[in-house]
Parts: sequence; C-alpha cells; structure tokens
Amino acid sequence: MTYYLKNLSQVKSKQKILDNINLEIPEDSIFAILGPSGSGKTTLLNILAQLDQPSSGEFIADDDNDPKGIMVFQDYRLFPHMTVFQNVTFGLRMNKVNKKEIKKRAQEILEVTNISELSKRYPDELSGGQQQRVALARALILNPKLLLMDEPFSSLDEGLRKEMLNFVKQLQQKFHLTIIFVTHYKTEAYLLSNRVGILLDGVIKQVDSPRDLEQSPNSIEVAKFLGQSNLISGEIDNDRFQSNVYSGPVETEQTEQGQLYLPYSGLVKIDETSYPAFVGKVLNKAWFGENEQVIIEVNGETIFLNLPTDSVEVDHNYPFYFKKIPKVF
Amino acid sequence: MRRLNRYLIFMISLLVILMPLMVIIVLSAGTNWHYPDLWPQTFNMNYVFKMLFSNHELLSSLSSSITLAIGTVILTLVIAYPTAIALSYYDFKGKSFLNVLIYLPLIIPSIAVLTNMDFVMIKFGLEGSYFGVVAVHTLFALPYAIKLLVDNLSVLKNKYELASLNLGASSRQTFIHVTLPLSRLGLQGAVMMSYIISMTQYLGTLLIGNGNFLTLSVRMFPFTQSGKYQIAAIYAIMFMLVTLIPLYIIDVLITPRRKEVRAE
Repeated sequence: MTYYLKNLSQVKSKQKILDNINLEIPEDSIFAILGPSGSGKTTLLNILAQLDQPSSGEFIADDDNDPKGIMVFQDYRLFPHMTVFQNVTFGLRMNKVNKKEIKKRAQEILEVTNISELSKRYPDELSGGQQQRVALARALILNPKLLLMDEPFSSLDEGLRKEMLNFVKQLQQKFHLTIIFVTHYKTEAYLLSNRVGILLDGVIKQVDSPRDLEQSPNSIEVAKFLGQSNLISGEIDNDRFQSNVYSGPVETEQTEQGQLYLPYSGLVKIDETSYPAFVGKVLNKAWFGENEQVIIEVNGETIFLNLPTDSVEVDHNYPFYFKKIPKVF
Repeated sequence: MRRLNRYLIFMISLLVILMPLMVIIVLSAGTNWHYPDLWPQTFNMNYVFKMLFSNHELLSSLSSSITLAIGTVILTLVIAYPTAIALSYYDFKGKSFLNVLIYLPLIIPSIAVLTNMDFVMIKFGLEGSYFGVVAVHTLFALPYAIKLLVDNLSVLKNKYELASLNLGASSRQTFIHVTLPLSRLGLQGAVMMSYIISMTQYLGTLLIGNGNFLTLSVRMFPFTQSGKYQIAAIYAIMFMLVTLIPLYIIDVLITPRRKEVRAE
C-alpha cells in the first residue's frame, strides 16, 4: 500500500507552515523527513497521525481513503500514572479487545521489544532507552501499517542512539512496517533510510538517496542546510567558473555570479581524474576513523575536505581532482 | 549557625500560627477571665463539649454550612474544570478577555458584587434559595479553582490526550483514563479551596440567603461583635474542625499514591 501526500498545505494564524507538500511513500519502507527545527516537520506528522487537519490537500493510501499513522512521540508521552503493561495495552483496552487477547499480544510485543521484565514499572522509573522501547511497543501492539516517529532518537545519548536505530530497522523488517520519521539529524536520517526528503520552511525541497543529496543537492538552500560543504563565490562566463580556488567548466543555471559547491566528502579526490580542480597546501588534519578532516589553503582561501586517512601530509602541496564536473548555484 | 537560624525562623512561624489558635482554645474553655489576669481563673471543658455536641443552634448551622459547601464544591468544579481545560489546552478568540473575566469577582469590591447579585437573585426569584447562596459562594470560589486547575493542566498541556486519541481512544475514554487522573492534584486544590471559601462566606450568605442559611460564620460574627467571646470561640473551634477534617480526608483520598492509582 503506497501512501500519497497530495498538495498538502497547513496555514495557522495566517502563517504558512506547510506549503503544497507532494510525496509518495511506498509500503514496507522507511522514509525520513529531514529539516531544521521550525521547518514544519512535526506539523506534517500530526496531520498524518490525524491529530491535525490540513488547510488544504489530502493524505490517502492505495486502498484507504483515510489512513492514520500511529505516532511515537519525541518525548514518548508514556502515561505517567500507568505501568508499562498498562501503557503498552492502552490502545487495545480502549478498543475493547478481550482480556485474553490483550495479554497474549502484550506478552509477544513486550518480548520483541525486550521490556518484559519492566512491565510493572512506571515510566519515571525507566531510562530513556527503555521509555522509547515502551513507546514503540505501545504503538506496535496495534499492528499499525504506518508508524510515525517524531525525532525518535534526539533525546538519547550517542551509543544508545545507534542501538535504537538498528533496533527500529529490525522492527521495520520484522513487521514490514511503513515508517515515516522526522529528524533534524542528518546522520540519523541517512543511517535509517535510503530515501530522504528535505523539508525547509514548509516546502519539500528535494527527495533523494543520502548519497545523491550530498553529492548533488538541487539548490543552495539544501546545500547550506546539509552543511559539510565549502561554498566558493565566483563569476560565471559561458558555463565557465572563475574564482580564486577553481576556474574551469561547471554545471550551472546561473549566468553571472554563483557559488561553487564543494562538499567535504565525495566530490574532491586526491587520485587523478579527467577533471583537475586546484592545487592546495595542506595546513592541518584531524583524524576521525577511516577519514581525516583536512584543511587546505588554495590561493588564500581555506577549504575543508574529508580525505582517506594518511592520503596527504601536512605542509605539502597536492593537486586535487573532481570526480565529476562541479555544480555552481 | 544556619541551622540555628532556620530553627528560630521555624519556631517563630509556628508561634505566629499557633498563638491565635491557643487563644481561641483558652477562650472557649476558660471561665472567669478578667482583666488584668493573664490566664483564666478556671477551665471548664464540659461546657465546650456540651456546646459542640448537643447545642441545637450550633449543629444546625454546622449542617447548613456543610450542605452549602458541598453544593459550592460541585457547582465550582462543574464550571471551573471545563473552563480550565479550555484555557490551558486551546487557543481561541477572546481567551485573554476570559482570563480577566474570571478574576473579576476578586478585583471588584465584594460588597458591590453582592448588592448587584442580590438584585439579580431577587429578579430571578432565587433570593433566599439554596441555589442562590451556592451560586454566590461559587462566584467567589471560581477564580481560585480555575487558577489552580489551569496551573495544573498547563504543565502537561494536552499532549497525553493527543497520544491517547492517536492510540484509538475516544474523547470520552481519553477524558476518563487520561485527563482526569492526570489532573488529580489540581482538582484536589480546587475542591479544598472552594470548600474553605464557601465555609468562610459571611456577607454573601447573609445577603443572598435572606437569613435562611445560618451557617457557622453567620452565627459566629454577632457573638464576637457583642463580646460573647466564649461562645464565639467554641464556634471557631467547630469551624476549624469542619474545615480541617474534610481537608485531611480529601488529601488522603485524592493525593495519588503510586501503586494505588489505576486507570482501569
């Protein structure tokens, strides 16, 4: 079952929060919506969870005209006056499912989410990771087709975040869920999903795989939001770019002036290609795993690049190459 | 040194609070207490107990105080709870105006409110009726009750309600299983406050009640005015008992104690 967001807009107190959102989300997949705070992410999820009505447009599915996503909230929202068991079974109890069935389903889901031994505890007696598992169990017990997650990992610490990320991935595969989750963490979006939509100021600017987003953002806004890139100002003359750092052919729609997009990773190489970029002096480098962040000086301008560890030495000059013709916005 | 200071402050506050109470108790039991004696010459608790448990007037005013207070608590909650929910959960036109409106009974001098209320009550034939007096008590209890409930509800906003609705609960189920248990503390404060306010209303009860409701405070006032301090003190003791005992019971009943709170 594919989900469609058609011309979805939301206006509140004369302010446009969402502007004409069009998305197609295939079933059994994880779709990430990436955007800074205040970009309308939560508003969008609330509409998909039927907690809010859009001002115009619709949210439909192949064989469901009124689909409703079950939400896992950023702050979990576990009912503080109920135990874990009561929290998890809340939806079933409200839907008047018989007690035997509730017990059976609860047992299954508590086991899957690894919280069986916590069933008698209250939310304030749980750690952040445990609370998230309870929130997931409370949603999953309803067998949702569409699961919505609002900044699901933002309040977890680094190690736990990775663990929960993998856990959600496993759950998705096990239950064949369609998950839409919103986040402002790029890494989270990239790790969890291979299709990411960039939401800026209520507008979906680009939907692509993480690699394509990083390597060819379709606008300067997206490039700036994704960060981790150098933007070099220069002049354009007949598809040729003129600047302190690089002068040569570029791919652009601009005619006079523009900004050369040099992401830290992926575009600039030390290995020779048929697109020479510039010659630069390595000023400094910092190790982080397989890559190093290298600071390079080119004609008085400073550029940051992520290069394979030990591929360059400090204080040496190197010629650098583009993997493909660079983009100018 | 700091500990000593704290201890001193505690003792002084205790003294300030308890001194008037002690005076009332001594007044009620002491006989033959004349100037310039520091202490009554004789104590007689029998008179106090006799008054407390068999005086017809005192017992009847006790029952009218309590029935009015119960009515006030119910009417106050019926109005204050939905109002507080609206004020803390939703944004709507005229919200700030409503916020001011609620506090009007506290801002406008009560004698002005009461004389006008009296006109209205006469017009609608409610003067001297149970509902009329309860309505006046409620008017003065509402600002406090709404404030207490709003403070309580605004902390959580409607986020748990939204979670509940999203999980498939109906609005009614959400109210019973989520809103109500989560606003227990606010409700407790509102109940206590409106009970005390109803108990202590003097002018409103007299004016709107047309003398039909001789509550504890209505009866007590003339005694203190005419220097009958012993009887006034006995009334005061009864007054404290019927205020403090229910407050304690409400506290025990409503304050959520962990394992006992069940939403089922």
